[in-house]
Amino acid sequence: MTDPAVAVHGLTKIFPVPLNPARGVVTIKDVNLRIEPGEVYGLLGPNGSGKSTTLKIILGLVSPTHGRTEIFGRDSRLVESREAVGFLPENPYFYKYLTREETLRFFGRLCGLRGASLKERINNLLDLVGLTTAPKRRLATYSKGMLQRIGLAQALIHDPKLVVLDEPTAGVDLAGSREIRDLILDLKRRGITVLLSPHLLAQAQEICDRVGILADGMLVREGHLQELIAIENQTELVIADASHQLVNEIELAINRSNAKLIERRKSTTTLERLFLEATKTDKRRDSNDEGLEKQT
Amino acid sequence: MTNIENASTLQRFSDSTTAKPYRPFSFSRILAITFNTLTELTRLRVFYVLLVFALLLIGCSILMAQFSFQQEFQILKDISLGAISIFTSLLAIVATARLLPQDIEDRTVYTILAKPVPRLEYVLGKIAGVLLLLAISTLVMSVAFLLVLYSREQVVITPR
Repeated sequence: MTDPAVAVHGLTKIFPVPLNPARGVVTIKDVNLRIEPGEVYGLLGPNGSGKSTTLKIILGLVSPTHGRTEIFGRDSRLVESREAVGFLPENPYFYKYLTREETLRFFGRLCGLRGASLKERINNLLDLVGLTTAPKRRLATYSKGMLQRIGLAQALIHDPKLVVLDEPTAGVDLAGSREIRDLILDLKRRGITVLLSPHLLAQAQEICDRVGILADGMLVREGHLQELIAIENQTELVIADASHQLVNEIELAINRSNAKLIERRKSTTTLERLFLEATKTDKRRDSNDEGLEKQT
Repeated sequence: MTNIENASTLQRFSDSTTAKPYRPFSFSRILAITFNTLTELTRLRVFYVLLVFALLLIGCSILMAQFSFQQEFQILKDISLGAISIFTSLLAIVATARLLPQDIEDRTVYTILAKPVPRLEYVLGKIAGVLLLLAISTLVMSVAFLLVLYSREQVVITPR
């Protein structure tokens, strides 16, 4: 059997209170996780539930009090386990005095890349995350969304097999967060394992294969997303161009049987989709007329 | 549409991958951190302010040495070497004081240590960066001092 991408065994983290070692703040209590290669795993939970701490322990940035974590079968505390991991921290901050190319070059060198291949990869990555304007500006002048994109590019620079994203869409506008979502789906298609802690549940629902929910440092729910959120005894029908009569007939049929009609409503598009369509038409009216005609 | 574009970019990107096996100790990683630290420090304004003051003081040593009739060169050397030593120490303090705390506060350290970088290499790289900065600034101040000394020698010693 192959090693899981991430394995967490009996993880507990107690942050000691200074001068009072008997009392500690328990952040994570006996968490077990197993993430298979190629999965998109979402770690959910309210603020302060230990999401970020768990991710940091998996990356070897914080040492656990009890238990151990492994990445592709290698202990997180070993430096070489990080060879195949890309990390985007929450609210990433980079050296403010560097331009984005210098930043990526720096991180590439840390991963043992150099020369022409590094340069080419930086250009590809900047394309990929959609940063092609303002090459000479220092990162101090970047908006949060742009920093987040740099963070993503930085996480992918050495072509990792596992990508850990801590709130990848925080501070990115809607269109941008949609692009990041597409990017995550792309990574998944290429067989890269993604572990993320999304702060928007709607997006988590769109991209995650499996989710775990943390509350007060304990894993309270875990499993395949579809199984977790399906309501067993209910079925939805979505019908296009149904006449009034047909709908009434269906309702009568339902009433004749033992089943119960809970709700009847018009299908709606999401507000997100509406917003995206509206802003898209304004922004790209002149440059992208053809594409629009096809869409509408 | 962007989706497909992304996929192809990602593909190209992955073709150019030349994965190198991890080495437990690598000078290139240390050098990357060293030069990064050096850029960080040289882009601080404080560095230039200190350097300008040091150079000014060395330049002014000419004027100050004029006050003494017998020991002009002694005073010139005292002031210049004193300036070099004081400003190098000041620079060392300013450069190192915030070096690690700032990285931890800004959380830049997380992104670096999440790469395969041993902590020892990170600290070594930082130290090497500061040392390099001090070496460069000492060199600049020494050159200024030698220029001042040489020009005065030309004026005073050469018989006219």
